[in-house]
Amino acid sequence: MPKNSKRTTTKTITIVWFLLMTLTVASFYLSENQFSGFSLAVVLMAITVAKFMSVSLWFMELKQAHPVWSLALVMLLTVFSALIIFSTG
Amino acid sequence: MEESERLYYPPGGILIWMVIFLELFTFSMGLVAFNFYRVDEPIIFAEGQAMLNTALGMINTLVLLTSGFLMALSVQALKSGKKKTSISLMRTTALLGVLFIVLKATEYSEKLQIGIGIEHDAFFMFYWLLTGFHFIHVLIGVVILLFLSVRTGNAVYGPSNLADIEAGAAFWHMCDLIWLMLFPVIYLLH
Repeated sequence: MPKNSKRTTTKTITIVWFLLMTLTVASFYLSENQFSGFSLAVVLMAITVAKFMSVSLWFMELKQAHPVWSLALVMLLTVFSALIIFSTG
Repeated sequence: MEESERLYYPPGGILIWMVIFLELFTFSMGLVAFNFYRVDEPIIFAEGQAMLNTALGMINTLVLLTSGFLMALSVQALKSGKKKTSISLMRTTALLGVLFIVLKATEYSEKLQIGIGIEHDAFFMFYWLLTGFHFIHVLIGVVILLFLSVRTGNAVYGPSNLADIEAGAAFWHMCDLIWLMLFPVIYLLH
């Protein structure tokens, strides 16, 4: 693979891991202390999408695959999140 | 890499990704059904959720995410020809998978001791089915990781032969992804 390709570096993976840990603790805190109902559903789903795509793109290296794979995941997530938010509201 | 190759050969291969999509679709629809039931029976679901250990759920999320992080590093190490590092990281990943299993089994044991099984109510029916199937996936994932680490040690896999390792890693990350959907909806949303 050429050096200028989209190959994930250890530093990038580490930053993504740190972000994932932070978002997990944040979602726990927000659920326990700040939000409930519709607003909590929106915040939690936004965090879920961010975490889900971070794992897919960097840990699973999906960003090196054809964009159609990422697009399919985003579509699945969008439908899932919309249905969760809709059913909560 | 050519466009067609990128389309037909995502990391781990097209077959594992078909499995991943099927699994994600199944779990996500199960969770949507769970949330629709929550609207119909808000008190039962609120009482059920109050009996869950949310902090333990968060710790399990951190454990799985860290295991996914180490697995990503393991694949990267093998690509760079660092076989020993890759094996160590893979085994540590499996160890964190075992930790997840132990913590989840503790949670299950607490529920069973006070008589909360799958037939308790609608909340716990979904809880046992969704988290139980995920639990089985993690168990299978740990076995796959240990198997792959042994085969890597036997020089079956290396920088030029990564397909099985990438497929195994994709399966492990799928366990992550499923839990990333389960945790907020079952434990956090109220």
